[in-house]
Amino acid sequence: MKGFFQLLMANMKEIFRDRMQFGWFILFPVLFVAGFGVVFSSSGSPAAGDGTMKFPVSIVNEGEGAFTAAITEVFMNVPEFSVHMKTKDEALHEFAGGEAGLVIILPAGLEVLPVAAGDLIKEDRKIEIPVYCRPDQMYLMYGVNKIFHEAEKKVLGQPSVMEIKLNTAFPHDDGLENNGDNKTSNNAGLNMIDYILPGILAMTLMQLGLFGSIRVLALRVAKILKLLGATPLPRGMFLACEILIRVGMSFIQALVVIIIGHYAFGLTLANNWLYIAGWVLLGTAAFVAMGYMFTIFAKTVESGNAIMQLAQLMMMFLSGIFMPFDLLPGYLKTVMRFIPLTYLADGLRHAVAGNPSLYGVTTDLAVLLGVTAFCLITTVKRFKWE
Amino acid sequence: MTVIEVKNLTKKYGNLKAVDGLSLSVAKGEIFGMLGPNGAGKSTTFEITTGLLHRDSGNVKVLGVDPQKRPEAVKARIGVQLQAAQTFRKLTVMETLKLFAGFYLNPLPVNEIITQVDLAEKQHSRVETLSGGQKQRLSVAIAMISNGEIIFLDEPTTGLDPQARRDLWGSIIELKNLGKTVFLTTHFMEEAQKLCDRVAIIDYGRIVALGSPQELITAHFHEMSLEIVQPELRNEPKLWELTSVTEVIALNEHTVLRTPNLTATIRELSALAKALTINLDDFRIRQANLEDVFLKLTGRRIKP
Ligand SMILES: Nc1ncnc2c1ncn2[C@@H]1O[C@H](COP(=O)(O)OP(=O)(O)O)[C@@H](O)[C@H]1O
Ligand SMILES: [Mg+2]
Repeated sequence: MKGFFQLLMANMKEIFRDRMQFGWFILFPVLFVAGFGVVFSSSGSPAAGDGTMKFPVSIVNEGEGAFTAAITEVFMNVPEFSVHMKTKDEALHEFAGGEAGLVIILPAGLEVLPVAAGDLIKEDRKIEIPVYCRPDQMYLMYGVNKIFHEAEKKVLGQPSVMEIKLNTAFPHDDGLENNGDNKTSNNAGLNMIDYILPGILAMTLMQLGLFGSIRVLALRVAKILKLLGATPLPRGMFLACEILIRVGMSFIQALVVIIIGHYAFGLTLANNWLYIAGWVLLGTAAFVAMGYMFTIFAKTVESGNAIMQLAQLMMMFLSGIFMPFDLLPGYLKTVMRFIPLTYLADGLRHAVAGNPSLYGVTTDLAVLLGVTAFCLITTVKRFKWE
Repeated sequence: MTVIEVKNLTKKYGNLKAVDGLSLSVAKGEIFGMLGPNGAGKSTTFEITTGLLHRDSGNVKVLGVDPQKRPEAVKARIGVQLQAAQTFRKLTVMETLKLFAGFYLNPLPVNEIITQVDLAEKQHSRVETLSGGQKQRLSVAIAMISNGEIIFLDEPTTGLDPQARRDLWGSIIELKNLGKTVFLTTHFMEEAQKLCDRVAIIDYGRIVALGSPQELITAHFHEMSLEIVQPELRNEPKLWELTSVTEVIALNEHTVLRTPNLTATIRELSALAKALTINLDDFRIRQANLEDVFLKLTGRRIKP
């Protein structure tokens, strides 16, 4: 036990005495949160508005009853929206011409929702709500989503029978849409920050996991692992020590991101700390294990760095953490489905900001646990101590 | 009492037999050296006995325990210095030794070891600021701090200048005085000869000779060596015709004459020089050493 404590201290000294490394460890998340926070809270989010920015919203009310009127009312009460009631032809014509950025169609079927909800749920049917949104105004979807989500919650309680059918381009006569599929989007929250910052958090956890393992690689190359292996220190104890440090560092970074995000940029904190910590832990486990697995393929610290760099860049840009998936072309959406970071970001958006998960919380959990298990098993099987 | 017992040890890397049927035993309290050129299989044997590496076949017992079956039982009772292993760069000398002391049940006092390897004025310096020789001494100190019954040293003086090397020999002899057994490898003939009680000379994974340095020399040489350096003389074919000389070995920078009768050889040699009108002014006489033993047994020299 004394040996374990000594090793823990030695490792921490190694890390914290390396000024470069330690500087980046603190600075990196701060810079990222500050950078993205500033960008997305000033121009991106209608919620941040001081009333000077008004976004035109065209609503087509085909139902003309009390429920659809109530929903329309909610939109009218959002200070950043200026709502115009239109006919469907009119609204779609304007959208196609680029004059209207956001068109919401409340279908006639919606009116029966308060009474028919029970049957719909039983039959597992949903009412589609077509929404047309210009790609450059995609962030408005967070507001739209949230309003529908809340309206439904108020009227029906929990279950969700409304499904937003998002169109980013006007359907042409030949039936082709330039974006291929109509994506169902369930994320709520008026705040783009709530989308971006959990993604940044996921990214810092990934980076810490991947690049943190370089240290183990460096210890291996310097034959320090081998030297430790020649002492009575059990290998398990060495690993436990490594993992403890990784987890501790992840928690520190997560705390930095969340606290700055919350207090400086209004990141929503929808869950208790323990729940958030659980997800942070899961993300740490997945990417630390992945980092260790990658070190198997590296003979030098330099080649290790190159591998991590590549993995990091690929995951960063293909996981949709910087932009909502609706904006990506179809094939990238497929690629995204295979990137573990996608699911950590999704899980963290759910855990931190309370956004409904895009892929389902169970899927996120399963993917992250699966990645952890796969990488751990591969690592244990193939890990080289020297 | 035998503390290390190696029987018919083999270890292959692919087709290469790094260790090829090697047997040796080390008695308690002796300094035992494995002497051999690079690639002879010293480190491989060393790592198998310390429980770091698995063997292909043969038997190994260290302090009565098989290091492959119960490595942790062996590791707790030995101290190890590894060839070319570094230590944590950002720790100080003192912190490093405390760290390693923490892994053992009954370590020696850190201060004592620091003085012994002559790192007192560097004890608060970080490892990254030490010279190569100081780092080397620190890694030997790590082996010593364990207070193990056997101290394993893999090329402990490689990279040291001659003075530092002699100082470290002093520390190793000190270990012996404390009742420890020392098992070391080296490719320095002089080190094996001056430091070791017994030496195993290794080549291509096999033992070519084993015994005390003096035993090995007298077993293989009852002759003296006479080295001729002068270029005009050392390639002279008539050297091979001197009657008192039993063997002539031409090396790159000199030629060695072996002779049981030194006086007769010098007389013959000066006659030869006179006949060739060469001044005989550059030759050395020395007793055979382990290098000569290696040369005689393998036809090669230890140092490339
Ligand atoms: N991990 C390894 N893989 C392949 N060959 C190795 C490995 N380790 C050592 N060898 C080879 O085994 C032989 C003996 O090596 P080693 O025991 O390190 O020699 P020494 O310590 O006497 O210089 C050398 O030819 C070396 O190249
Ligand atoms: Mg070696």
